[in-house]
Amino acid sequence: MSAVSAVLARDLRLARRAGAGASLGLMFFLVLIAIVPFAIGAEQKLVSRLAPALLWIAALLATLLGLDRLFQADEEDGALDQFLLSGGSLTLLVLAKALAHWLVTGLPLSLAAPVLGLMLAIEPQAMLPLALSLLVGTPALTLIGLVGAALTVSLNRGGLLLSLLVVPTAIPTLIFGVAVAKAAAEGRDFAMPLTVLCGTTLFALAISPLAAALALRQARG
Amino acid sequence: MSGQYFGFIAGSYAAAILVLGAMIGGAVLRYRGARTRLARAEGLRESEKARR
Amino acid sequence: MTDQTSGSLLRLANPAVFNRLADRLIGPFAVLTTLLFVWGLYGAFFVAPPDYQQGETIRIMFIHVPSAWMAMFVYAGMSLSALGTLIWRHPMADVALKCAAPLGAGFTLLCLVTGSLWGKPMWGTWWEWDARMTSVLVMFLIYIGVIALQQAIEEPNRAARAVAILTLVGAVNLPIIKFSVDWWSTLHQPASVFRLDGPTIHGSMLGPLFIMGIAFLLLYITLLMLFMRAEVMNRRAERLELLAAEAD
Repeated sequence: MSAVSAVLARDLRLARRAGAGASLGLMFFLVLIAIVPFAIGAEQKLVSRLAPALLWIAALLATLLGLDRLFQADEEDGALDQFLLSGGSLTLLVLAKALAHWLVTGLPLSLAAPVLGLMLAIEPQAMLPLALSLLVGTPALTLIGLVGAALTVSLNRGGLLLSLLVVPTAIPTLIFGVAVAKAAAEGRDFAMPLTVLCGTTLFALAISPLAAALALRQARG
Repeated sequence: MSGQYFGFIAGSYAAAILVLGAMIGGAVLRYRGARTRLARAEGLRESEKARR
Repeated sequence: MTDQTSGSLLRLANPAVFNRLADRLIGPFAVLTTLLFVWGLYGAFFVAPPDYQQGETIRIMFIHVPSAWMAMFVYAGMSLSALGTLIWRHPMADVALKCAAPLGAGFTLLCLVTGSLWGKPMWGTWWEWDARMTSVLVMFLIYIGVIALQQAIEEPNRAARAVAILTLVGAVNLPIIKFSVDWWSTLHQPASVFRLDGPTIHGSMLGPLFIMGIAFLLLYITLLMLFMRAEVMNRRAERLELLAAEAD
């Protein structure tokens, strides 16, 4: 267990050193949102209507970013071997990595979403549900992404391939995440999509660490 | 078989011929290529043995 | 019964046994496939009547629906092969998985293309974000992912196991994706869209459709045997080339 918390602390420290930690992912999120009006025009109604979808797609892209290095760095500097030698459970390691990744990407994005939603003129009553949907749904994106990262751990430039593997699997999360915010914006009840969104996250939590651990083990031969 | 839809039907069957044809062609070419490669590799091994 | 099947499956683990069996079967299967295609196509064009709603475009169904069946069938087979690779380390399972993926992707692509060509006269657009078409598109993407991962990892054993894991992850997720896409499309679907699975499939259409389905299945089995046979030969050639290089 201490090995797991050590991994968690180390990953968080590394993220902080590498570029002001969580703020870098947040800046990427902000940049994506900032270019939207240039692409679709500044018409407020249109932007407002697209806002939940844009925030969710930005969250997906921000999650994908850097996933390809998630296990590779550990593989290269021997940290993975050390962990295995110390008798740690690979599944727990994967969970710790997932938690660290989510703490520096998904969590800050969810917290910043209301502010960015303001910029995109999202309906006021949809603000909190949108943030809530991101809070509940981004762990699923991270967990799904982790499987892709484990599968491509031995590849030098696996980033594009990783996106190809991960994005189709993330479709249910995207559908129900956007549905929560849309229902809230239209003043409808969003309990059903929110429940299913929680379901996809729990399912990813049950399956992904096992699959990722299996993939890591086979990659080491 | 005439009528306004002829193009779409012909297009569908053309697509089928193209895709299935590529699959069949790919399989046959791969089979032949593998057979040639194996024959050469085995020939090499035989001559290796004969030299020794 | 189970003993017998597992026994024969185990015997197939020996590539030599597979080779002998495949060499004996490929020819007859090819002939049978051709005959069934001729029979099925004759039925599709000359026996089946034009549909009362969709007219002559119903002829597209005889390719579209069998390819959709094969797209699912091939993936199911790949999932079984993936289990074979991961649990039993069955050497032919990994060959089967590798060879099936491009064929499955081909059937899925054909399903998409013919669906689009059918959609244009029926829906008025080349692409409708209809639940079924969208699910098939996602399936195509998953096939592409499997093939891409297969090609990206060079070491064959590693590639085989990574691809097996990815295939199983896809198999677990496909029903969820299907469910969510269905749910999503009920929100977005304009009510007036014409349904491809129209109210009636006349009996005289069902016969040729069934024959075409079997023809597609046999074509797949024949091609899979050819590809697997080629793969086994390629692997043996690789080993021999390696031995020769070491001897030099």
